[in-house]
Amino acid sequence: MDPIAAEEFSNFELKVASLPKFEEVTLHPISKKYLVKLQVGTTLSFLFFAVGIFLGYTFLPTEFHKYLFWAVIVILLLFGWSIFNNVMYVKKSGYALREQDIIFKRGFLFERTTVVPFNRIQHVTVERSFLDKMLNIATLKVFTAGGSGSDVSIPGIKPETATSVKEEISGRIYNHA
Amino acid sequence: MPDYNFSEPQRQSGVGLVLIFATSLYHIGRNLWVVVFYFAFKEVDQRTLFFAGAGLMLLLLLSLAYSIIYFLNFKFHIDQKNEEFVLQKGVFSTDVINIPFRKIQQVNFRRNILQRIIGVYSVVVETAGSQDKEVEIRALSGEKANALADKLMAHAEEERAEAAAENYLDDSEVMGPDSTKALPQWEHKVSLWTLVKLGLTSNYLRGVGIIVAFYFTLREQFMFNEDLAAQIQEPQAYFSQGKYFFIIFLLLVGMLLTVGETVVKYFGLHLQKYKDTLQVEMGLRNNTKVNLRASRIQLLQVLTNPIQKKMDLFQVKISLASSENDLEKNQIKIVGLPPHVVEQVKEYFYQAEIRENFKITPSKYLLLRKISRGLIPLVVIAVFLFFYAQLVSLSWFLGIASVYIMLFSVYNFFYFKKLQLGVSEEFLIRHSGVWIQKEEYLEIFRLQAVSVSQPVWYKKRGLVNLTFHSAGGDISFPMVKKVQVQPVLNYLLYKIEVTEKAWM
Repeated sequence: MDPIAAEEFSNFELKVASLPKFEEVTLHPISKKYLVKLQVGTTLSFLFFAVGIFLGYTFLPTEFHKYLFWAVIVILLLFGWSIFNNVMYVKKSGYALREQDIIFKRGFLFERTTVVPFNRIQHVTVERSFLDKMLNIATLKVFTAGGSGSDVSIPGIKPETATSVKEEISGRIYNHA
Repeated sequence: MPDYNFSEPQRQSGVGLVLIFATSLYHIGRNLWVVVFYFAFKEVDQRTLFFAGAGLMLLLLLSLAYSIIYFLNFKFHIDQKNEEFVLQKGVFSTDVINIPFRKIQQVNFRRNILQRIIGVYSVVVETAGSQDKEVEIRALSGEKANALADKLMAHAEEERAEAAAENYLDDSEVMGPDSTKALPQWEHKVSLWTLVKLGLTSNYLRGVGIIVAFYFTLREQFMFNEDLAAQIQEPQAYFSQGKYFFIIFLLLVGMLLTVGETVVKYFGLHLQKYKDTLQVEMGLRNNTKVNLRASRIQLLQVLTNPIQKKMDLFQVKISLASSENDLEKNQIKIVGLPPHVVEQVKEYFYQAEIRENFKITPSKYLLLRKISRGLIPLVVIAVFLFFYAQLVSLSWFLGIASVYIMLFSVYNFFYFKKLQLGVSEEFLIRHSGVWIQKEEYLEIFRLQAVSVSQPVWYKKRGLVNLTFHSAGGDISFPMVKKVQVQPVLNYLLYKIEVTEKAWM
């Protein structure tokens, strides 16, 4: 910002300084059980590749085995990275409800924080896949009119929490409407 | 204007039958032209011809019957009690489409050439829901179409006004049926000559692209024929001799096509501002008439390029709320406007003058990143040349590379300079573009959500990317200092959360 503009800005900087700061809110972590779900998914896709390589090893002529060796290394690296990435993803992600909005932060390499004010939420759903039921977690989805970019989907919440958060948000949407 | 009663289920105008039949004939023709081709060029005996003729007659009869039934079954009415617009249609099965008043976004008119000949309008009801996005009644007389549109919009507004309570500043919800008949407060017509000028100063590459695509489809069509393919190959050899001539020729045709496309698309562009709506009419082949209401506009863009700026040609793009991500489709483009009309349009939509309090500029690392990314292809080529050094001499490579780097750096420097995010008390304004200069206006209370993203490698420098989500599309802004924008983001959230105005 150049100095002249900064002077003009001070006009409403005072007001801004007293506003609540979304970046200072402590976030609730998402459940470690979600990590289990992620790792299961990663392992399954890894197994898929492993089977492919095994088949390749059995049926391809020997001169291709050299390439297979490199494929194994690449896939192992990718697998290791995915496992690590999953751990970091769950560690870094979190959500928080404020009086007026919901904050969701996710991602490790690309961290992304979305803030959706309650008076802009269209509807809220709680979804549970088969694996979610086994692990006793749920996914809370918040839909807005701003397209997929502003929709928020929070995985790895306890089903009870998800439902109560959903009720809470629905109540607040209703109050606004 | 006679008072039309829409509370009873009713059909379209009688001539609608002609329209339906003609449309189905058109579809048949489009699907059967290959067969016609076959008969035209192949020797056929009497018997085949007879059967083909009989088949065609049968097909025509069937399609006529289909059209009649379709016409008879197509009924619509306004259900006052349930507060919805009801449409029934279907030949074999019956579809009933109910559109609650509050879901109605827009009621527009559309006409293609045939509709113009037989003197009817298409009435298109746009809804906010994701399915059945559009409902079209294809044949209504002008008066009836107007009456229906007015009634539906009045109901929609009423419903919305009830929902949004006292939030309306003006009395826009009270809309008499005769309000569209009143004289416009101001109007603006874009002349044919303006459109030609606009076409001449637009990007011809699109036109060239159309020709190239056309050429390739033609070639593909005729590839099975060896003789023809050979014939096509020959002129290519000829063209390679007069290459420059060929390129100029291509550009000329591209230019003509661009002008033609502009004229056909925006022919007779006419803006009329009434008390609570801005009516936009345009198009030669498909004539559309759209009523824009200030309360519905989510995002507004003003575009121009340096040449067009000199000639007072500005383009305004208006985004309405769309439930899906096909934002281009829900955009209305108005072209060839002089600056004072752009101001008038903005004034109508936003009432107040927009004054930027301050501007946010991207970090200089953005420029650095842009330039370093542009060097990647150069490095790749250099490595490639290292292995095949004989192909080009070093001096040539260095010469071309330095020109490239210079042009590229200058371009990116201007890109970087132009990219700014203005913040006023009520608006976000994004300025961008080196050649095509773009200003995007987003009213803060229309924001749906705000996202901040930060790749790991931005952390050290404290940079973030911003995305502002609106129902008419996102505005994103790259690489800004986190500490600098955080107060702004908090201010935006505060503004969204305290506003009681309905964003739609």
